[in-house]
Amino acid sequence: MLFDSAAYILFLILVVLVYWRLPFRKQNYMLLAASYFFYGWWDWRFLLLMAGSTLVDYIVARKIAASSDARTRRYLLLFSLILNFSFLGIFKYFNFFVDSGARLAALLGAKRIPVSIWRIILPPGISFYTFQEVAYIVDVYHRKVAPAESLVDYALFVSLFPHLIAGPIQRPSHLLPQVQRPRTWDATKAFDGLILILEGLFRKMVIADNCALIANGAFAGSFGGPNTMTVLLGTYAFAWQIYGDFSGYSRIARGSAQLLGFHFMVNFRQPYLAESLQDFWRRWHISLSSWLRDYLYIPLGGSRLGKVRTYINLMLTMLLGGLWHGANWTFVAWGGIHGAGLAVERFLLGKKHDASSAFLGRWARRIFIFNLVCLAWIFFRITSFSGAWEQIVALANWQWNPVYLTALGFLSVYALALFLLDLQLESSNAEQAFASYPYAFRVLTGLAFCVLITLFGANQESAFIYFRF
Amino acid sequence: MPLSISASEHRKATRALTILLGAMLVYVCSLEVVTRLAFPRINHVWRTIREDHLTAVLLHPSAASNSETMLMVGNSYLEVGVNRENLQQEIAPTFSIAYLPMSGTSYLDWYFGLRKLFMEGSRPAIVGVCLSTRDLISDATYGGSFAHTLMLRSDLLRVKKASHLDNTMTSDYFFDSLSSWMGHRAEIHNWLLRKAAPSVEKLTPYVRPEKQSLPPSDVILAKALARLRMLNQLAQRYGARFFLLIPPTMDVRDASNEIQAAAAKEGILVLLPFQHAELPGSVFLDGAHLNPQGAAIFTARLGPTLLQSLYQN
Repeated sequence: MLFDSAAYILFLILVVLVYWRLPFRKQNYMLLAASYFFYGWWDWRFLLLMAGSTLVDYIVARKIAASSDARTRRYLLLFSLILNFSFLGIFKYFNFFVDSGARLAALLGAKRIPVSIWRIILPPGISFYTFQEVAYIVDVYHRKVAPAESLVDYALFVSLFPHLIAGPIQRPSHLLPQVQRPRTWDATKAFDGLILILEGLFRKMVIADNCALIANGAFAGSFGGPNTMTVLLGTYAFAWQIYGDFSGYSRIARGSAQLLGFHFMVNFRQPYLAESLQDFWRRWHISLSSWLRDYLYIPLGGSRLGKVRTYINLMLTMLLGGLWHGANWTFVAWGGIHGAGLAVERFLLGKKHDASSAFLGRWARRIFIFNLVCLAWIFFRITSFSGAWEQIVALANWQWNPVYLTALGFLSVYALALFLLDLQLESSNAEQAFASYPYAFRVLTGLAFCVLITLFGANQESAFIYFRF
Repeated sequence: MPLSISASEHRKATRALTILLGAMLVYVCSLEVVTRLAFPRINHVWRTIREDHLTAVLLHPSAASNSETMLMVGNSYLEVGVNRENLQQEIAPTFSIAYLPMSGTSYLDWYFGLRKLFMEGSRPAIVGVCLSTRDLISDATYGGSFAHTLMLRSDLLRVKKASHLDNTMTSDYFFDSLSSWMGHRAEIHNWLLRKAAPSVEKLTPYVRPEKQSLPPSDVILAKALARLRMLNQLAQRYGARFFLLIPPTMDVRDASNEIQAAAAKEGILVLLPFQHAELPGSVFLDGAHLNPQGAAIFTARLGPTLLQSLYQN
């Protein structure tokens, strides 16, 4: 069920209406049933996989917590990690290895390799709920959280529908206690939740889907080229598309959760206003970057083992972060660019940021980082190395067509709207736009979002980009 | 003190939430009413489709002038490629023709669209469907406009199966069929965009989805024949004769001659007034559709072709 579909809106209204009429335990049962219905809407067969891994991790976590033998605990942890990553590996990367193997075999002269019969369908959200389960098992192992007493509570922690398909990846210490404690209706949170949903739909349907028109046209060659202008148009349009898309999704997820009395962590904090790559990763997909930091970078040694090891750890973390996004070498390259950038930044600046608050200096850094991030987006958007390289080389091929100006104007309107929204958020330092404004103003803002969504949402039916991951 | 602040904040939030939800409800209802009542009056394309639809539904096998009635449906190839008045003059008084073109439509839109038209009472003597080979073998349906205008709600599951829709898209089609605004939101959006920023129109040819490459000829032929049989059977069930009109396009060679020959063996009429690449590029408007000059040439040949072919059949 897509968040920007009429079916989801109806589903959410029904769930909220029934949910708040039930006592606490029944609320959890009902939410679990609703979450499984939400997930099964894609394909009911995927439910078995999620239910199976939930059950195994529930049992393993309890055994880890109950055991005082360090070796047993470590074996149980390893068992769970191997199982979780095997599920993820098989479903997410099997096709990738089959394709890579087929290409290698073709290079060695093999013909007629029946790749298509080995293909496996990727269950939606598997990367997200696997990471959440791994975080739970590791935290239980380190005794940072107590294992869930109730299977229903744990299953709800894993499958709660607002975060199930594309996050934000919730930490056990943050979400599990919320699942285990009674929630109370809070009109302020519900109002904030509704505004978040409307803002999220605006970001997705108005900004992202309209920018996608330009990005798709430019990268498909509809504007001619590739040349300097088509590459710039395509890349900038994709940068705003993916940001509007994913930040929109995260806001709808947070808003939906708030209507049910839950609080989800903020997943985006104006990433295109970052002044360094390190700053960018503190603002972009925060739930993933902090997961990678806590469960990969720090266990690898973080910055504790000397400079060279720090650079290697940064690179490894970003390469695996890239691979997490998808089974394609271009994602690895995307992660590699960020990893190398972070390592170079660390080498040049150390841990310190250039905290100079000079207006021009700050904006120069922001513009530089935005363009560096955009350069990396080319590898994220294009599915082959040769295609990505072709785009980068074409930056030197200047050609002009008056339609580029029209496309640039079209893109600027949408990008500017999102940029202004971000400037407001940055200056207010709040979790959502216009949070400190009077209710009357916020009601009007919500209504304005509603009007813009209904009248200026792009026509195409398109899934959220991160549903693929 | 904090308690009273919190209580007052809670009251304010409750009031704001109620007002926002109420205002959204009123807005959505108004949108539906405006779409149903006002939009057809101000949007020329939509008004034409409505009028054509009404005319099509009221068709009987013979017109008042005793000529046989012909309903011709199709997509933009029919809409801009055929000069309506000229064609009627060419085929009068033998045939009286009614049109229902909708841009962006393809085979499934018209298979289910004709089912709906017949169910609504349309009884033409002849049904013609104007589609390129690419459109004939397409599994796509034309979004909300199709669901609202051409789809019977009882056909929803058949549409889901035929068009390989997922549950979300299927439910969208259900809502599109119920609500005029949801069904026509794409047109409303385009219309508003054209009004707000006329220059955006220039972008349209650049942001169209890429054309998929066509499958091999034998695959095209098998799929096209099966679909022609379906359309033929549907028309026969309601007492109408059927023909497919393949318009001139600038597409790649697309097995249309093979389709015509194979269909003829089964007694299904396929009209191909112009062979592939017979018309020069100068009579095409945007690399796909005919310009007025091209439409005049096509219509001039289509009239006699229709008379000759339909008499023979």
